[in-house]
Amino acid sequence: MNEQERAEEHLRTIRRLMERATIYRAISAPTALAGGLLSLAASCFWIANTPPESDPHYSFLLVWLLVFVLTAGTNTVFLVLDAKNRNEPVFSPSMKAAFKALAPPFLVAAILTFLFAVAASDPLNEATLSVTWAICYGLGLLATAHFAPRSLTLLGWGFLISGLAAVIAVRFSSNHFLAMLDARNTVLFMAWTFGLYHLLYAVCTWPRAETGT
Amino acid sequence: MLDFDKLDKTIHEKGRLAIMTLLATRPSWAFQDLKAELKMSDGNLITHLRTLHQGGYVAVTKAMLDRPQTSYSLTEKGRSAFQDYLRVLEQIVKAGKS
Repeated sequence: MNEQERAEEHLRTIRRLMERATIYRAISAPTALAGGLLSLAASCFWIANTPPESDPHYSFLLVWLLVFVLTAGTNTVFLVLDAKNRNEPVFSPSMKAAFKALAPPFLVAAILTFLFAVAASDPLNEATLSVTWAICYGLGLLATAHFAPRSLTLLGWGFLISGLAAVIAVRFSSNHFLAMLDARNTVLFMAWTFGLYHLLYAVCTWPRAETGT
Repeated sequence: MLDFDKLDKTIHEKGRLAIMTLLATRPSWAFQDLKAELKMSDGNLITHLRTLHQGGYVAVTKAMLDRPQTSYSLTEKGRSAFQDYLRVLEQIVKAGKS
């Protein structure tokens, strides 16, 4: 190995170490557990307490906004605690980078949610809104891929593929899959994605969360 | 002619280079975090940190949180030396390509 190759090898080692040390987990395993359980609980609660003949528009929105607020609050608490443990400022460069990456798709989801809230009409029904949430959430997680651990990227792909699969089903299904989805079935889609995927993520990352992998 | 003799000998050692690299990524690192990240023994890590501290590259902070905690950070001299070290490495790579 000549001097140039040795120097390149040294630089690669330095880069690898720096990347490993600066990996940022925007969603912790405890947050995913809380979010997953809340999503499943919200799905059960909503299905049990919403008569089939009732208009589900606002109850659907309220329940899922509540789940979002509680999960985001939980995530904030864990991010603050993690920053304290690392002896870093809460608004670290890594957190700012994560916010920047998450902002565009989350903005899309927020605007569509607002439109859904102010206009209870088709085609922006519960089904399209839930698919939009899943796709935007997946895109947001994937936007953090260059500094996120692999597990978070996989979670992003899970949401994106599930959301896109629902959209493709609309195109190729002879009986218009999404049109068939009433609010009750849409809640099952939410339980499957935001509930089950988060629980899987929590289970898969929990033992390794302490080492930051 | 640039070669490895131009590199700072205090940094140019596998363990110390790894320590300097990690210290360059955050304002400070707790001893236990460094140990976990680098998978070094206590004795090995302490020896390297002492060498870097004696060279004026690393500052040591002892604090009493739930339990005594020792944290390490790069000094201005250490940060500058690390940047110089990287610069020399880059120049060696460039010189080899030209």
